[in-house]
Amino acid sequence: MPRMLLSILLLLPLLPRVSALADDTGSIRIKADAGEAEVFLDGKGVGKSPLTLTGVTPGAHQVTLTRPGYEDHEQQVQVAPGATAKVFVMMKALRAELPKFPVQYYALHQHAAGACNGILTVTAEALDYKSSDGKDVFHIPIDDIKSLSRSMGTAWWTSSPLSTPGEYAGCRLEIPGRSLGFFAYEQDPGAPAGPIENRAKFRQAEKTKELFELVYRLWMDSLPRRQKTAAK
Amino acid sequence: MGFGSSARRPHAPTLTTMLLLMALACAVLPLQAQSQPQVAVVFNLQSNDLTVIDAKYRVFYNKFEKKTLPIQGYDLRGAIQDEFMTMLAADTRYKWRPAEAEDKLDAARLADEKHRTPEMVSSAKADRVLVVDVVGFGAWVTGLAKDRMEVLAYVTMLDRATGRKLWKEKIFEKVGFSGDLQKLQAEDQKEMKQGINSLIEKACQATKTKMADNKV
Repeated sequence: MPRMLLSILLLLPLLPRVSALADDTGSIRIKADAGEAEVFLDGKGVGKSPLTLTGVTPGAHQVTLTRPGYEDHEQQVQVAPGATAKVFVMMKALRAELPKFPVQYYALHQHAAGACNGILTVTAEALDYKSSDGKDVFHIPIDDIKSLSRSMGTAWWTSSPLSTPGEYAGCRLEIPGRSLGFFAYEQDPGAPAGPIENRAKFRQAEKTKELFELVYRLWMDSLPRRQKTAAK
Repeated sequence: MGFGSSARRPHAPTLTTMLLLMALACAVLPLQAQSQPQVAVVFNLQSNDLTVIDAKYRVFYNKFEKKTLPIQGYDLRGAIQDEFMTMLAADTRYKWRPAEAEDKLDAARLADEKHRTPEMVSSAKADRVLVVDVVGFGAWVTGLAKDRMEVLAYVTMLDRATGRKLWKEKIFEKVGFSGDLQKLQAEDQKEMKQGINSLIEKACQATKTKMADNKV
């Protein structure tokens, strides 16, 4: 009898582990790029992402994520017993309204050596640049842009990619055969009239960021359309 | 009285006591967990962008371009904090919690090892402070080697009472990607965000492995 009692006593702490081993449910780990989003499992609210749902019955489940300012996201998730299904959701933001086109910027256009000043006009379809002396004229359709980034241009050598803030870099577009770099700026409204390259430049970092964000938005919006065209 | 019974009797109480002690120890374990040292975890994210090095190899020269791509609509700080806190919760040697306003910890200043002073952690309402300093997310697009995305972070454990650095680990993880910058950013930066999510998960796993070796 005492032995039996002892055996029971010894086995008691192990009981939860035994039951865990015998658990035939699964888990779902849900994350969203946008951070916190309301999560619904089979139509029932279960909390905010990121979260891990345990004790989920195996099989197919409908996961829905909602967040103000984003489109609702729905997807089916397969849960296996004793396993954790991982869901990483990229929520689609509702697009903010674009500014009234055309938008014009005073711009500095990078050359291999030096730069020229001019006006960069952005429309929904293209970028048009004309230097103040009229020698440099570009028409760049948004659909021709291969890639777009903040960059200072090419160099002979560069260090690790993990250390440089890019907020002072230019807006650089790659088109077939060449790449073009632009810095946008504001002019001193009180400056006397004369060649624009002689006038003082203000808020270069902010205006370049603004230019980049506008062109980046137009370029990102053009990508699905171009993929469809390429698929045809 | 038989030989067997007289021989077993002196050992029986000892065995019983041992078994009882083992059962008691198992029952007491949850109580021990309550006395874990508390660690406040601070996160510092140095850049919200993905910095790409586009390397073009030619016959007699190399040409490089450092391109910064914005990571749009990704709560990077939140994602890093959630992944690390989930991973840390499994380490029962400590009781982990994200640093709160009352801890008065400045993540950026704590991450700067050269200028860090013991006073910077003395205000923490915890026994230790773990500083997770994510230097940034980067990518290499090369003609010769494999295209990859990478993350660099430093994880440092500090003692609140003395401000002493107990240990520091460098976390550097890589994942492969297509190398096509347009594809990387297509569909609202799908490939880029998936890569970054994988990097955060890998960085957490690497931290877990390295932390397990630290005895303090």
